[in-house]
Amino acid sequence: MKPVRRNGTLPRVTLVPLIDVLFILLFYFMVTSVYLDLDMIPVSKVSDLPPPVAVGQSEAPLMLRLTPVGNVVVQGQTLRPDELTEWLQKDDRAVRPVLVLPSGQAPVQALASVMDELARAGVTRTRLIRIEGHP
Amino acid sequence: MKLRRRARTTRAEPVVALIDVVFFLLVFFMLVARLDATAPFQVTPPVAGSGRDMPGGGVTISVARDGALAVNGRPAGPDWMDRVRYAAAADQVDLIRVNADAGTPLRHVLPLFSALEAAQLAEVVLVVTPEPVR
Repeated sequence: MKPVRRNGTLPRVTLVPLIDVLFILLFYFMVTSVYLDLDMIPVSKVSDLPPPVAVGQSEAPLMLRLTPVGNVVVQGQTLRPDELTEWLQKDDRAVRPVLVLPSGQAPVQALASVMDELARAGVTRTRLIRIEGHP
Repeated sequence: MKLRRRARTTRAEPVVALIDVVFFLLVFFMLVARLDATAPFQVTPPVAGSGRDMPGGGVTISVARDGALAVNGRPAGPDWMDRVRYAAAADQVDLIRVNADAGTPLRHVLPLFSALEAAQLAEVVLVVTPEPVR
């Protein structure tokens, strides 16, 4: 059945309600949108195996201690995070597994910076460790 | 010379172009919007250049500077692990995101990592923001 008005003209579709709804949706998405570009650094995987047992000097894990001010102590040397990449690239140290023992007073940014430098140096086996019961 | 005025005609404004533009804007904002839960407190993630793209979904644990916790946007106390387990089981997630403020002392964050790793629920990642290109 074709809807025809009494005077024979076709009914006009009003666009105003459509525009109203569109503007409401647009306003909602504009207000609720978050424009942060977020990335992630893996910390642990379910399938992660425990660190491999050292079989020689080249496979022995390197222990990095993160100090409260964000410096790294490794093999008795204190390095800034930006010096770590160069240090790791010497003598193929980057192929060794790395254990990171952060201080509880260090900020999260310091840990992210160290993880960043480890990734830049080509370290593929990184593990965070913590002394149980020690904050 | 006498100038003749044009006859005034009221022309309807073309609304189709307006609707087109509004639709474009709507689709744009729908695509860029992240409908994830936000934290009930201010969290500024740390900056790192080696982060990977983060997929959507998963459980988000937010950590404030003072150590306050929120799970999927809701404040959580010592029962945070139960909430994470419940959320992970309900949504069958394979990713747990720890969204800690850059200035949060690690003493508030490391126990979370330990507990989550011990629970073996899903992959645990630290949320970062990409650093500007050097």
